[in-house]
Amino acid sequence: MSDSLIKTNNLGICFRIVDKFNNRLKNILARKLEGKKLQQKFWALKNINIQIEHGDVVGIIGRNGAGKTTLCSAISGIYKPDEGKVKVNGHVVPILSLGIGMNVFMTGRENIHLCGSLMGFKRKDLIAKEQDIIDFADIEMFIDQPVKSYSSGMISRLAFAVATCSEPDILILDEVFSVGDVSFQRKSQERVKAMRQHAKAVLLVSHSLDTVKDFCSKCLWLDKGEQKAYGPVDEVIRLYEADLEKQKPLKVMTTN
Amino acid sequence: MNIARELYQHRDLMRLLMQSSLLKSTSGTKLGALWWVIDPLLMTLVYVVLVQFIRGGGKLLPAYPVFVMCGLVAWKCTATCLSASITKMITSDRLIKSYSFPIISLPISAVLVNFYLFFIAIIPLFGFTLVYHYVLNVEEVNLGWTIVLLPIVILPHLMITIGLTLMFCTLAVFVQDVANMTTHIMRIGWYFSAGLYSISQVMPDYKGLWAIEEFTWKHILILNPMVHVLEAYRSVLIYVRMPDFSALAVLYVLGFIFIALGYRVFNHYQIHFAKVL
Repeated sequence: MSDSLIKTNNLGICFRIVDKFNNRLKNILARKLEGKKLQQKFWALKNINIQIEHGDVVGIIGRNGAGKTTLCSAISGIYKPDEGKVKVNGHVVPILSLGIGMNVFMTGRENIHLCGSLMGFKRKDLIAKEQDIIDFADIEMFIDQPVKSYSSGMISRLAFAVATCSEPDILILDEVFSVGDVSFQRKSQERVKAMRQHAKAVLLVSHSLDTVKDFCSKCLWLDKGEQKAYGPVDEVIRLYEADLEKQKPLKVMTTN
Repeated sequence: MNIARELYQHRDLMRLLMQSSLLKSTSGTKLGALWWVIDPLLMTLVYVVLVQFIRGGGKLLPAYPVFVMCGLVAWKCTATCLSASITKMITSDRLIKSYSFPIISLPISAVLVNFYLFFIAIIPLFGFTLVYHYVLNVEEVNLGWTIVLLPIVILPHLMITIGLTLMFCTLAVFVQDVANMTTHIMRIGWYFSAGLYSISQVMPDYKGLWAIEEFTWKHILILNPMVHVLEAYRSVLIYVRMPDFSALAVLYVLGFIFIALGYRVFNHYQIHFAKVL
């Protein structure tokens, strides 16, 4: 058995772009009947080869549309690879956006269980960790109120607390790391550090290079679905910054 | 069966999803859960009044409101299962794209919620049946021991509904027009399900599924499985009669086929849902 928590092998994800005038049914029929190719393919990810070990905190950086979220989804098992393989050993909890899956009419306490079940936690773990979650999210006063009355900050804190409560093997944070006030941010940063010590893996998508520098041991730089660099964090960030510098003057010229 | 094992494994998630949609359906209303009883009563009223107007001197079945209500709540259960689960699938796009959870729990929880509402709707039906028997002295209808047979009628009904739901949901994800189509299919289906009339009114010589000697165009009606589901419900719930066991056997076979097919189709395509939705 391999030791890596996550291993991707030539991973590729593609989306079909359907022509505006052709609806899906027409497309299916055309493909079946005539063998015609009406659809264009768009590869959101191509040839991704990464390996994530126990205790790795991997930062994923890149410009908008680089395929960062798609990679997170593929590792979480939401998208099936269209090419290559993803091998994941362990329980993955993705937080791709905060507050999804919560029912605003249910109380905070019920939502802990609803969200937790969607994330794949067992009922008995959730019951055991319930008080922990409430304390961590700091919403003791409102926990039996419907989530409808929560502020977005409270919802974010609750979702983060549920996802990290019983330390999944792999935690995926898609630009949801810096939520809440400074003290909550500090608490969540400590959680991530603790997970690193307990040999769990964390994937961190961020646009803030400072955050990536502070927390990550490794870094993956994606650009237009391609893997530009993967390795020690300082090295990859240096390459990325150099690339950004190179692009800047070009951009200014085109706007003039 | 794989589907039973999978659902049992995720029973906590299913329970929470059911709780969640029940809460959504009543929140914001003044009458809350009372709507679960009012809804079928109002629907029955509409049909009874409608039929009174158009019957044109024809004789109504004895205790007609009870007759209609029995068929209507059972039919409405299936129809709402289909439309609710399709809506649930299409509106849960963000959920499906954000978590990797068993997607099948979405349509199945919608089905179970509607069967739960069906049970609640049956309770006033019992009341009306008793009123018709004891107060209005209609001999034909009564509440009797046959209600213990209710589970053996519900089971094939549930299986057929789950099977249909899984197939329609898969289709609706890829071709969203199916959602609009389903409403109309269900409306037509209701009129061809012997809910407002009995089979014997259309086919006076009908004795059972295996007793058909000559197949005429009128017999197309009995090819609709829901006709037999509604007949069986009426037998056990309001007529204190044994259900037609030959028809019931066919329903079980159909139920198994539907559920096996629906589960296979759903399982095969569910990995693409996140990309298509």
